[in-house]
Amino acid sequence: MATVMFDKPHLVSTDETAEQAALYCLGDFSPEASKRYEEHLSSCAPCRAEVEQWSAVIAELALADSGDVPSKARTDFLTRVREEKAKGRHWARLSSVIITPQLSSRPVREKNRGQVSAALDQLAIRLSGIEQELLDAVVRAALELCDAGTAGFSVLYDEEQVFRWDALAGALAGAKGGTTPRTWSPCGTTLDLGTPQLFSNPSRCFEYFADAPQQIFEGLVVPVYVGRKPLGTLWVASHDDRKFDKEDLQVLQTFADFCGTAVGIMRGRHAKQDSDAK
Amino acid sequence: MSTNSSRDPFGEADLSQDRQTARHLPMDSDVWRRFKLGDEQAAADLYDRYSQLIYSVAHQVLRDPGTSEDVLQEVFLQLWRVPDAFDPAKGTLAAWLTVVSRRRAIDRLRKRRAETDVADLVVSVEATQLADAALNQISHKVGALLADMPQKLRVAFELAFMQGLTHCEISERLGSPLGTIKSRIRQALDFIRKKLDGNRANSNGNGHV
Repeated sequence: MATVMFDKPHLVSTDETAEQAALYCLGDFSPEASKRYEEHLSSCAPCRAEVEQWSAVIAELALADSGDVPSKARTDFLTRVREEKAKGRHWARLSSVIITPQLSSRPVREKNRGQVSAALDQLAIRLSGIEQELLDAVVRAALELCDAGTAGFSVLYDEEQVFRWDALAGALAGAKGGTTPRTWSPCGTTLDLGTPQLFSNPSRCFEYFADAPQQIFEGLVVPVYVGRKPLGTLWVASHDDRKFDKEDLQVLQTFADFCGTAVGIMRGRHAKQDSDAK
Repeated sequence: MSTNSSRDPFGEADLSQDRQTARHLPMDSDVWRRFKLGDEQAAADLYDRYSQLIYSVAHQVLRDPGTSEDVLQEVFLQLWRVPDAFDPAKGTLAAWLTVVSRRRAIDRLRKRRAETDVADLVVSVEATQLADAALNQISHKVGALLADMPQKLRVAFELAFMQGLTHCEISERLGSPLGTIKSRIRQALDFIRKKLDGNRANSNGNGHV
């Protein structure tokens, strides 16, 4: 057990700081003393440097003095990792960012249904055009009618197991073409659950969002299907304190349903054209 | 102190032996971030990089492949379950793993001693004999590092390093003041560090034609 603990950061290393670090590295401290010392390390560069130095000496001696790790240890570890993952570490973390039930208790903003109908009429005109233009138009409409910071259409690419942001409008429009993993993303989770989901500060769970130029405060994600096959998701995100409500969900769901049907029709038509051409 | 305290927490000390190579490979913090997200490939990458270190640190104390492997699994699974247990603000991952692995190994060693009669043996044997017993177990390479260390330092160091005794226990056994033992342990580590630095300098010098 260490006899001296440090409360304040040191300006320089001394024999005493070196001795404390040596005892810590050798495992001399009790769990409580270790915890206190580690707290001290976060603010004391000289002691961190001492720990670095002594732990490297201990590591070097140990590495020079033992056999190789048994090869089956790697398989054992990775098997345990997979088992633990399946057990739900991820779901515990997901549950901290999914706030979908809040949609039913939030006050609902008034929406102009006329605007939604007008937007659908405009979108219907694009049915004879190309899929990308339709998706671009859908996200622009969703951005406006949900008063969102960003709206996007994430298309699922099964083979690569990713979602690609094929259509984006708003603050994150510059990220168009970016991808998120099928297995670990709000879009993937929404498809897994098969129903619309509301996420709060998703970067707490999906850390890659922390690098986005604008942080996401809330994200409302709706699955989009062509027939029974998932096409991807339509979503809106806020970057300020904007909170989405049931009305936003209804608008988004309307566009998502339209997209599923429209893309189905367009792909069916293209398939027929290809087949006729052959 | 020659260490750079502002370096990347995933960067490593300047060690040069072959089997330490994996520990030196540059690892950008993206691997750690993916590990924290639960990425299996990142778990495999971290394992490949640090498993030998953890195993060796445990083996140094336990001298048994089976229990050393248990410590390895325990430390890695703990990190997988609670990645925030490691805080990059408090140092490098290698240093943290070294300390944690050693602590776990010492806990097991103490448990093992408590379960067998070895505890009595350890208590009854002269401290210097115990230190010599430790010396008999180490490799020629490490033995050479300790060979010309002044005996007072060597005994204190071997009892702490190999036998996992605390400086209080060593002080009691050797009948020396606590401050003296702490100082001897630190001086012994410093002695080894300088020898390792010297060996590195020699081998680097030999490497230049």
